[in-house]
Amino acid sequence: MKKTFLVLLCAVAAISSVKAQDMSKLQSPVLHQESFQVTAGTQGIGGEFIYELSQKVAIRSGLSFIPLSMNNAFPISGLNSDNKLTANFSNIHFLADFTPFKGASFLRLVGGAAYFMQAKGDFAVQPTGNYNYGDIALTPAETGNLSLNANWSGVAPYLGLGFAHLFPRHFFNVNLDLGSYYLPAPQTSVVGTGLLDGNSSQNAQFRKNMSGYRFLPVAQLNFNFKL
Amino acid sequence: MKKGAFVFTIIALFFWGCTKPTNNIKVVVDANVIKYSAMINVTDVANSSVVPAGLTINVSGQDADAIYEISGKKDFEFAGGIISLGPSPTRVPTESSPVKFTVTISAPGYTAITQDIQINANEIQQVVSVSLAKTSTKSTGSVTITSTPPNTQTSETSAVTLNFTGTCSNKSDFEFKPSNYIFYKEHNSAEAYQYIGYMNKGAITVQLQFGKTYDFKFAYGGQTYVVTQEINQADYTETVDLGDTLCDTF
Repeated sequence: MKKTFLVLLCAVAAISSVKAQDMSKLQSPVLHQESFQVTAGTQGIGGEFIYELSQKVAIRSGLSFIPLSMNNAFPISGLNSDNKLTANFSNIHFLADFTPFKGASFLRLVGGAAYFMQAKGDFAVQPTGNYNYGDIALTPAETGNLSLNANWSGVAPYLGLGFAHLFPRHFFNVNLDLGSYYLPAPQTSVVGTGLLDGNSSQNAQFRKNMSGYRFLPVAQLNFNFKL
Repeated sequence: MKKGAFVFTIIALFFWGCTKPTNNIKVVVDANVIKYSAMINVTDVANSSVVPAGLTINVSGQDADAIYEISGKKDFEFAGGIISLGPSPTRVPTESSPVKFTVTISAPGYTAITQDIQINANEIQQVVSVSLAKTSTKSTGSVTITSTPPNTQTSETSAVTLNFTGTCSNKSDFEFKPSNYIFYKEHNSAEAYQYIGYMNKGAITVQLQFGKTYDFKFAYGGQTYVVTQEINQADYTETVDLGDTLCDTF
């Protein structure tokens, strides 16, 4: 009985040892993974290709674009008018993901830069209704319109955090980016026509107002497909 | 969803940007609607410092219906003996079809004067100086018309640029850039105002003496506006309150 028990004990020990070795082979890291993700968030929609350099570092490159418009965003006191705010941002970006903590592999530091081919906002004001100059009824062309433009095109650095794994364990996952671009100082212009053609004098004030608009926050969901 | 994403983006940008994009932005209105004009300046032939009281003007002739005061009004009122008249934007003078009208200027106790005025395509401004004679005298009135600004340059003067901006207390987001005929004289001088030139969209460059103080006057919408400035530098910005009555016409 004692001999049988000892034999069984040794067999269990041997089997456990083999199993442990098999398990360790199964858990060895897969390097140079690749994936593609469709992105959607505050920098628009786009796509990124991701390549794993090491267990801790991956690089990605991609494109994003966002064309948006909004009517009557900023009413102007004393001027009956329709206004339209449009924003066009498109960029090509190169980022690197660094996973600092092995025990918290869901958290990444993300840094890099983007070239914004298009990064502009336009605010167009069109007076509405009837405008008179004294007793003279003015045509819309004589009344004119007003356009304020800001342009941030150029290279912008990026810093942020990534949440959830960058590469799906199986075929698909969703991860999150939170960060910000630091945009170049905006170039601005104020252009008016008709009665409003003297508004270029307001460009200095407009540029001053826009000088603080340097950060483009990124809050983005990434729908990630393993390649 | 699209609008929601946009609003989120804008809110995000605002959070970082802080200042509203239209903060302190004024809507600048160029009050140069009547681009061709004739400025009529009426004085007493016996004393050019005296403006006859009770001046009235009647406009008649070929293009009378198209003639407005420079503020766009059809009511013709003198202000300090000055009124500027011109055709509406739809009646543009051409080489073959100049603007023609007749003015009759009257004042109680004075002999009325009737004068034909023609605005040609190449004459954007002209000055019609009218001197009225009292009926009790043997003097006769006179009219001189010139389209070239006076030359006030001397060895003691320097070029000074004045930028006039009209404001309205009931339209605080607006600024108006007047286009009008400017008169000037030395401050507290008993001399008559002299025509110095035409300010285009609020700007005029004139010859003045540094160290002196001047009164600058223009007539608009039947009212007179005067700005006083001591001259010590080459450019000034002058703010003129246009008054609610005039501001409400815009």
